[in-house]
Amino acid sequence: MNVKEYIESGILELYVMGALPAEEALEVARLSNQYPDLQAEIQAIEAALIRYAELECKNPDDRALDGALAELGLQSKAATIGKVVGMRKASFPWAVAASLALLVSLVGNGLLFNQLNTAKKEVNRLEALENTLNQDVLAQQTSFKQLENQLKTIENPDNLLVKLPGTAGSPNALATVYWNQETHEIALLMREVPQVPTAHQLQLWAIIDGVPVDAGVFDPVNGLHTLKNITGTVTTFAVTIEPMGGSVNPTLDQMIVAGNVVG
Amino acid sequence: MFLLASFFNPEEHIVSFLKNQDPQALKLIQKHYGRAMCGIIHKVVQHEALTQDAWQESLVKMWKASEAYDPQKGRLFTWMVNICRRTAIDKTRSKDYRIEREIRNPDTFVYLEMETTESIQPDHIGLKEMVDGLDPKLKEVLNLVYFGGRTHQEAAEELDMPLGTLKTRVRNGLLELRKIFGQ
Repeated sequence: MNVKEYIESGILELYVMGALPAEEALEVARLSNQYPDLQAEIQAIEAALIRYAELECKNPDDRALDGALAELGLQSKAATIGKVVGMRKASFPWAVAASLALLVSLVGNGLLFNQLNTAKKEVNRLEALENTLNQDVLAQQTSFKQLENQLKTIENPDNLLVKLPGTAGSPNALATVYWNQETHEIALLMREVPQVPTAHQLQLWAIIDGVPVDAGVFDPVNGLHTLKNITGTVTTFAVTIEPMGGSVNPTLDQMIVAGNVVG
Repeated sequence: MFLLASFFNPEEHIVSFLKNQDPQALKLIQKHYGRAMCGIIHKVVQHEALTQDAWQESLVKMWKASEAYDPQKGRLFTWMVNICRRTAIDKTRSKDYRIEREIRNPDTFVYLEMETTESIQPDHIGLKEMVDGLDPKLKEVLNLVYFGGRTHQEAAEELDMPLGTLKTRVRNGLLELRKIFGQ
């Protein structure tokens, strides 16, 4: 099955919104258990639909939940509120006893109220902690995904590797070009980036038939940069320092690394 | 750790709580899906108090129908959306609905409008504008299927467009939304 075509057909959106006939929906459910890409796409669609509908919600509160729990006879805030019971004429000793009981109950309520407040504060504190932890985990997941993707790019067996050592002007600089021969995508791993004047960026050039062709601009930071796709017979790759946004022709005296394509 | 896990995958927890008839299920549904479900209902009934009523009814139905839900056959979200939409649509056919509509004289109308304006969530303002700016052609199809609960066949017939066009528009509408929400 072509997963990409299947995703692009729009069937997953209809599935999540419940607009497919039962048989088709079952088929999507079955396939989504088989293909993780479908599962991920379905989750993204669902998340967007949730947020879309949330914009239509005017009064987010728990009234309906409390109502439903009470209706179903499950515990709820409403259940703790005592019923008002009608009182008949009470005799004096009973009135005294009742007053005393009320007094005791009031003191007790005060104590319980204090405890409740402390518990509420604790709940707030824990919720805040939970949020922070969740954010940390999300951040970690994002950076892990990034690394994983970078690794995938680098490890691709279709890659042609070109080492670009530093030039005389910046002997410590070092870069590696990963050129995918199937998709023609280019990724560049930058190491030991030299000092670059402000409002300047780095630009990769592919020399094809003796002519430098722009292969993309990137910020002067170490790490993996995904650049433009390049097709054709490249003899040399080189990186130069150029004004922000890149130049039409390379500034040759600003070349920091260069390397010839072997094979 | 339990709280952390339920944040990332509330679905599994809700399903197992539902199976075990643990009220925690309804609480988690309210926490993770409450605002979305209220939004869907509100879009259908267009009335604040009736939205609350229908949402409460929907929660009760979910609890009672939990045995019938099978995670192998569809998403929890889809199941809940179906229940809420059906309840909301039934609501618009009820006597309550007609009465509420009739007493919406100019005075109460102003009151309702004010209530709506004041309670908009501040973090939604920018997003709301972006969503309002969506191509009406995409939004029409999306809303008819999502809030209107039409099957793709019904929507295509109603809008008099080929099924393929409808699917493409639904897909494109969703892609625009995902762009706006950064997903």
